[in-house]
Amino acid sequence: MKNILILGDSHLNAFKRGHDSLAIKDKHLFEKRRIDFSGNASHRLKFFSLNESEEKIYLRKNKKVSQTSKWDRARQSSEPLSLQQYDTFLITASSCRLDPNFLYGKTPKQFPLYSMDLLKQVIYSPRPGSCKDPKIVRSILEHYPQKTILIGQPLPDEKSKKAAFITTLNDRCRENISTNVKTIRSICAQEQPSSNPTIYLPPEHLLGPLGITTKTEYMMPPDDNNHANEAYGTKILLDLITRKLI
Amino acid sequence: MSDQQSPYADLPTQAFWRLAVTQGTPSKLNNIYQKKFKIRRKDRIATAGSCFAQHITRNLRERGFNVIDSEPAPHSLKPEERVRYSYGIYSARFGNIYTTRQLLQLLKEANGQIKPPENIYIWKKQGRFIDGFRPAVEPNGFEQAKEVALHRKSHLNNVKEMILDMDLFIFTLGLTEGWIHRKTGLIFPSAPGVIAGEFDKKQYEFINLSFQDCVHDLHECMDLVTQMRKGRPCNYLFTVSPVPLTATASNQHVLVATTQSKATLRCVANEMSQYPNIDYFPSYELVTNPARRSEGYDDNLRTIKDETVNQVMNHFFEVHQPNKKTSADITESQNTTSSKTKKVKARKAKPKTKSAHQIQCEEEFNDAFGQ
Repeated sequence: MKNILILGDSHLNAFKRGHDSLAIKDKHLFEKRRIDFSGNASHRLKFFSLNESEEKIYLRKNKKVSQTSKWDRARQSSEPLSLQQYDTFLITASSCRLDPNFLYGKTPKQFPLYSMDLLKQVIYSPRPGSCKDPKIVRSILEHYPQKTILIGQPLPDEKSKKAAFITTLNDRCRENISTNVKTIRSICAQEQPSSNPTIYLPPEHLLGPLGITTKTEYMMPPDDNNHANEAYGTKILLDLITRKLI
Repeated sequence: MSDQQSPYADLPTQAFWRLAVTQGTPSKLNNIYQKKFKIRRKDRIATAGSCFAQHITRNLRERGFNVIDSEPAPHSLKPEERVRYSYGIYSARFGNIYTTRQLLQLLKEANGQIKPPENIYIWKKQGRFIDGFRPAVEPNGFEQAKEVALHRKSHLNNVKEMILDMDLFIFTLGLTEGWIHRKTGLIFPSAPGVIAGEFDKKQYEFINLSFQDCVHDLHECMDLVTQMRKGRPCNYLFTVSPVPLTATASNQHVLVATTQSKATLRCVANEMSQYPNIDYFPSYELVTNPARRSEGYDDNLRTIKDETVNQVMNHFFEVHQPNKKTSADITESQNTTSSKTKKVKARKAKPKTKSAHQIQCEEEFNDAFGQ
């Protein structure tokens, strides 16, 4: 039996829905792998904290979140979570490494070409400053790199405002973006030193033409184009299983 | 008897060494620089040159000038890594441009007039590949030779965009000495074998550009810029780097070679600044001023102390003040306590209600986990 923990913010939900749907369709799929979920919305996930010596996730002491409430909404529990029981951690918070925001910023205007060496640095380093990952994500990446698969949030909906800049791009920008995407994919396909986590990139058939957006059919309805839907979670879980990553 | 006075009698204080230099304050020399044109806050400024130009670029950015960054770093790259990969140092990632010949060559390349052969500029270093025209921009080198060529092509496109975009070009003249490839005449910022590549004296030769060479190069550069911009004018501001040569290959004492190089470049700057759209800023004089007794330099007597750089730049900003900030204002705004206070205030100003995004995320949880 392989024990897997999927940890994340609200983007966890596509995986929960996908998991539940797969479990109904194919009972054998989860006979040899147990999947647990842990997390909360991003503004609450930031209070999750790893106790390194106990290898448990606690809620950090703070005034904003009550210590007695079920702070881990995915588990519906207020108890610390022991990590020793898990073989693999899937992280669905943090940016997907193909996200335009990750390389080009929140309001992308320039799209330079980046070298393979530089992209390696960027992909595997904890994110700095304003775009830094939640503390719990950084802790897990730091303490369990070999066990961790970083999936990140879904790429923006191809029809959302966040992706609107794509329609204004000239050929050179498109070419640079495509080359950077190819380079990132080739880096993630390479064998990495044990100090690096596995960086998982969504399969190309789920993505828009440049490979930096998610096809609308895999996102929630238009009133919520931040989150992926059940179909997305299903496809990613199946891909992870097929590639024997979980 | 004539009652005519000496022609020096009515001259202002700054004309007299004793009053202006011996008794002057090196950190605040009055009237050492008069601007030739105004630099407006919205003006797009491109910067390039030898290593002293890095200080100019940084200071301009810190003071809110609109410095072009045609090749920005990845958003998620750590600040210390940005510098290591030569991001944000100049307006494009060309590394140090020490000589006028190097600048001319870059502009010709960007304009498609020359296409240097890959075997000449792609150097090897410990199994990695280096762009010999900007050997320091990728500290670990490129993985493959074709990656160097691809990135050079992209870089040249960005340089061209920078040229088309700029209103003002600030260039710091650094050296007259350089190394060229004999057969092609291509010039390199450092001799092959120093950072990467191999030195073969049959292939490479030393040059020391003369006054005429430099003036000719700069005229050609400006013609090229005008051609690229289809006649659209722009302003130029030249400075001369006060940083001495690390080493000379001229068979002279390095002090003599430095003086010759800097004197040549200072004359070149003077010659060029006779045009109405070219200004000269005396950073060289402000650092080498004898009243400083060389204390403007670090212990190696070569690199410039940050404090000196700030004093030099204050002379510039006193004349070009886009937002009328004084040095005291700048110090104040850089004060961490003050910025912390601002952050606290900003935080307090935030509405306490949940954002739409937060609500959306909460709803997602309710839906998926059935709460």
